[in-house]
Amino acid sequence: MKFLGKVIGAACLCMGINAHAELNLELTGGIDSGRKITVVPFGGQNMVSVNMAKVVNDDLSRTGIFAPTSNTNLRSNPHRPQDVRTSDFELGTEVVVIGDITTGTRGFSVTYHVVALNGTNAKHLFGNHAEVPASQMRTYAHRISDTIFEKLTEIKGAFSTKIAYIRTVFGSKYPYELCISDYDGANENRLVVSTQPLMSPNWSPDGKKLAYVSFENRKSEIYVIDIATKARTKITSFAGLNSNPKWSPDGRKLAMVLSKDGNPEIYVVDVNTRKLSRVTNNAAIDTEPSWSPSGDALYFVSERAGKAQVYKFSMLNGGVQKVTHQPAKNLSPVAMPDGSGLVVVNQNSGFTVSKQDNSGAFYALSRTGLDESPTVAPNSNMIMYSTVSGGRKGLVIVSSDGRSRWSMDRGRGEMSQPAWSPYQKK
Amino acid sequence: MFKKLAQYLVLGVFAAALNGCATTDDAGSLVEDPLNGGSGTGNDGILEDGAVIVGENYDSYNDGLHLTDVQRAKLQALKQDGTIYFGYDRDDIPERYVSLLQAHADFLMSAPEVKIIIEGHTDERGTPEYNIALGERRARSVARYLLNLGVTPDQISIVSYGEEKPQNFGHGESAWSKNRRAVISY
Repeated sequence: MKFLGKVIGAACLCMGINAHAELNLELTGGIDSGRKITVVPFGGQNMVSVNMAKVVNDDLSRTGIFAPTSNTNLRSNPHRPQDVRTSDFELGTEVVVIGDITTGTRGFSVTYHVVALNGTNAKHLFGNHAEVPASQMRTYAHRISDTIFEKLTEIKGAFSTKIAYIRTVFGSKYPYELCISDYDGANENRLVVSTQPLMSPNWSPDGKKLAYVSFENRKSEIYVIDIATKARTKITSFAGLNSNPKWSPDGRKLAMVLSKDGNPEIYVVDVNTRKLSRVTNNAAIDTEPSWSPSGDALYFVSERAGKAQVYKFSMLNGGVQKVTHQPAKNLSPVAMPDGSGLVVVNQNSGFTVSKQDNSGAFYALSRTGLDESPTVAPNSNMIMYSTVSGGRKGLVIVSSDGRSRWSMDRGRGEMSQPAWSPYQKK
Repeated sequence: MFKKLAQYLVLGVFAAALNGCATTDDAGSLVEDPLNGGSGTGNDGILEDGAVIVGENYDSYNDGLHLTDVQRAKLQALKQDGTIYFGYDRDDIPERYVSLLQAHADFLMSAPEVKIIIEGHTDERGTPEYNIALGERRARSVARYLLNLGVTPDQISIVSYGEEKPQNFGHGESAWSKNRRAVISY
């Protein structure tokens, strides 16, 4: 994070690459930079393998709202609130996070405090203390981030959420892997591996199951897997495409694409009764269903008027309305959970993840050219998508204001088709 | 092997009945997959980290058929030459594949018990879901061509893999031109 301060100071369209190998943070800047926050290295950090301050720092940096300043070469490294002096921190620093790790009853005892700097005053805002097993240090660091984010922005933090995605390692015995991990890619857990493609993971609203597509029987079929037990249930196996399952917000239905009648159409299946309802009926391609936050409508992509554009189907009265209007193609709609607009993939000279506000304002959030499969954090603050960079496909998190962009460490092979989980039940 | 396939078929029918999916629609003859099978649950292997292994048993319907030596040699030759490459975002078959498709059609008409799966593929440009639809159009385009040449519908099934099974793993036009394809698979 060494260059971050300079980047923000420059207050222009500029980039900063931070010093950590597995991170690739790019601040696209803007006239108004993020709120300055400093996360001081925690006391007792050398006892644990997870760099607590770094996890918190990275979480907050991905929000676009905060611009964490460098925490190396600080004039002091306080671990108690009374030791925080405003003069020790960069001018304009709004908040300082400090913490201390000691040996505890269940592993480690972690204390943290958040101190606001205002002029020469340092004011203790809040703090907490927890007994944390060694294996849960990273989880607890994310929880600290959640609390800080929520208290300072009044937006619920999404740092304890998970993602599902497809990892592809061509040349290996099972090149296709359905994986879940923490939202930042840590703690990967492979659920299914296959010789044949796996696609389109999507979380049930209770966060306990994934719907996905498997080609294991030499055709596309939609399955649901219970994450805890790994029990799998085949949902559809119609002739033709069985693709793009999306859980309704109430968890009772799956929207999907079937081509059993000759071309791709949107259907909704009742998960319990398996009753099938047809949503679209059109000679052109209809695909990529996506629920509105309330479940009252389904967005989808159609070529019914020529180029692919996003339409909205009302589950209440069956009405269909076109919702994207740019001349270029628009694909892969995702409604922002907070109702602030729609994320799409815009196909112009390349493919860019873009956002259309309710006002109709349209702006690009990515600019790499092969960007696809956007998914939005449950608090609407971050958007993840896949891109190709350095000759490999990987995942990127961009803040929904477009200000901060971060590339995930890809590890083996390539990563694609991310799906952000709902908030995890504690 | 044939016994296993028969089991798969029974399970496939059972699953279809369970899911209430009657597949007797008008386009069924074209899209119905005679190799549909596999229960998908039950006998899956498990890796050390707990991941479920799927997609391992991958027999060809044609493995159990009794063919003449001449037919078998012809089949081997056709297996090596069953790929049709397409233009970007196109599903029309380029002129240069006329003789290739005629050869497949002639063989299939001479051996009506042989079945094929036509796999549709795309390059990585475009969303995965859109590409699944495009891949299906390519496979359908080849299927329609073979049907017009006289191959019977129950010999042909189609599957679209979209951009998921590239022939070339690269990320540029030289890779993409190899990945926009339909493959006639025996």
